[in-house]
Amino acid sequence: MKNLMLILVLGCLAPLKAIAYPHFIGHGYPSCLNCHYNPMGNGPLTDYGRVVAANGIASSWAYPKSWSEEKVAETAAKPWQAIFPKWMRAQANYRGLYLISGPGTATQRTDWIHMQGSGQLVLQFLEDDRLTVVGEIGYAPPPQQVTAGEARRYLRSREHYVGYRLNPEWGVYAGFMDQAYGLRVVEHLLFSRTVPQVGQNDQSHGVMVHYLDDQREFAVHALAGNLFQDRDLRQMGGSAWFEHQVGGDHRVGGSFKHTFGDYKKLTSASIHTRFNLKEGSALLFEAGQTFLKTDNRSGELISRFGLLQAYLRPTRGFYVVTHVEYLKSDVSSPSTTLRWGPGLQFFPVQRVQFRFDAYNSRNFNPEASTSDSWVITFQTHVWI
Amino acid sequence: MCGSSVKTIKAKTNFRRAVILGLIFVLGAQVTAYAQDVRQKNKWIQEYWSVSGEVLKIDSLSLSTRKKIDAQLLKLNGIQRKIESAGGLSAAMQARVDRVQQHVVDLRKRVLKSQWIVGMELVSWQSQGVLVGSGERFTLLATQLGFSPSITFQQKNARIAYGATASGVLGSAGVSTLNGGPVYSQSDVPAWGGRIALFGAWVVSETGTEVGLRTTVWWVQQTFATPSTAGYTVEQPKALALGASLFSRYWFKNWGLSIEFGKRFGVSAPAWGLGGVMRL
Repeated sequence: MKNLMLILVLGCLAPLKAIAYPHFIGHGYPSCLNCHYNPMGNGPLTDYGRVVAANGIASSWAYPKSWSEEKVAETAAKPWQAIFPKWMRAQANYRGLYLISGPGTATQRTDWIHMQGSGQLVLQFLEDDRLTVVGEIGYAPPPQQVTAGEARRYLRSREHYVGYRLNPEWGVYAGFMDQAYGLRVVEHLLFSRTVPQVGQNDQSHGVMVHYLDDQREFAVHALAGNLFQDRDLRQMGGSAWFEHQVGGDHRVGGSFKHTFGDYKKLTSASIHTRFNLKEGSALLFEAGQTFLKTDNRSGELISRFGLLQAYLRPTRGFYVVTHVEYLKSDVSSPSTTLRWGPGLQFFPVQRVQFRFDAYNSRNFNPEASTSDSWVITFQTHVWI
Repeated sequence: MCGSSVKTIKAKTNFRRAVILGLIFVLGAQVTAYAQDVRQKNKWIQEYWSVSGEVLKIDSLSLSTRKKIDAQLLKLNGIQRKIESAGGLSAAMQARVDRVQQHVVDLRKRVLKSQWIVGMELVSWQSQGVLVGSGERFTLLATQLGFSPSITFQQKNARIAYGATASGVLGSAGVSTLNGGPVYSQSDVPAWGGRIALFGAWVVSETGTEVGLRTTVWWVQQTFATPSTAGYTVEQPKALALGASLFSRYWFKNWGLSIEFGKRFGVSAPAWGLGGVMRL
């Protein structure tokens, strides 16, 4: 039982992976395309994104006081511009997680998980780099339980696609990417990622059309399923995502997804908001519902999820995080789960991130009470 | 003939002298006026330096210093206009003007304002009783979910906030044994009471977002039913408890969102709250 619990916890937590940081709306960057090649976030940073990370996100304490911001910016992108030709960029990522499950209890377990060690290559062509080819390959922790006969795969690509911007507003992307859905928060363990099945390993081959202007942004994603999987496991369908700028600084949006395969059919819809609280602070909210029909269940499983995440930036490089999550895994059940916790995110220098999070899960049932469960994580992320 | 030409020459000479003298006089007057202007401008600059020095010495705004600073700012503005009309501000002078303005902005940011805030939070906490019988003790756990209307008084400036909150608590819980023992289950057991909290917070953005620490005294009344099984009694949960929490408030003009995450001492599980607040 203990092992099963651990597997469940690791299964939920291992898929932590950097995608974009939607809370950077607090820095005045509402769109992922400001800093990433992928318009929905994730993947390698553009040269501009590297400069933003150095000048706006990371702390400046490590640099000599005499250094101007321009000089710091030069250390962000220029080395890459010197090494690689204009049409090529590269990035490497390492992400490790120290996990404490059930702290202070008899069943406490600690583990260090290498979540990601990957290399990414970008080729960019045409005027204004309108044509991009992005590829990633890297280490990924294999699932704790491997089906008999199935080989453990340690190397995998989570992203490889070709993107073409017809103009600054319209772009078309084809290849293997994350599905365009919901708030693309960094924590894949959150209910808002797991319930609609847009987690770390839920990428799909497909074609995405993306639009961006000053007031709105949307993406429509046709999904062919993960072609690396056996045909009967692939989930085909489509997703759509949009955001609209309101009040000058904030964004409201929504997502819809419908996928189907041989064994299951999933439909999910959510609404979300991102509030720019200025000076790096931001408030994110998402709520949604998912309908899941599987072969081994007679009826449809309807689940509801919610997320409220607050990022406060007392000083440059440092964020105080609060996450509040809601899960009704089966709307017909009286039981509800709320997961709550504080966290700290620290970028001591550019290309380095440390993160601490505590997750307290509490189950509510009008007829009985159970003990809360706790998970504590320390995360290290280095990218060059 | 000869005499008249001499007279003409003399007249011309006198005229030239008069013109030269006149020019010298005008030039002298101009030089004198310029020197006076320079002296006057220097005097104004000295005066600006002196008055602004007094302003820069003020390190907090009280009722009396506020009046004084307003009068001095008026005076400084007048002097600044005069200096500008007398040929503009030098770089050093402009730096002084900027310094004074920044100092006044900083002083105003430090002014504490009193605020009343009302709120309504969704709150959750856990309480424990004990089921005693057959020489054994079994923990009874109640996970509460409820509402908490509150009123807060705080002093706040652009950097910090501190104050006190009084709130009522109304909730309910399902109760069951935590560590085995006889079957004990109660549904929707009501809990009611109140809290008093003192807090200090850091204002982290220009929109007034606050993050801080709060110490809370809880008084919550809840009664677990005594089981019908003979020989068993119930020790009720303690009504009084001390707690501490990390809280944050996010403001959108006079409306805001409040999040709290903390602990009631004596119970291992956290207590938390999420709700809306309104500045009166």
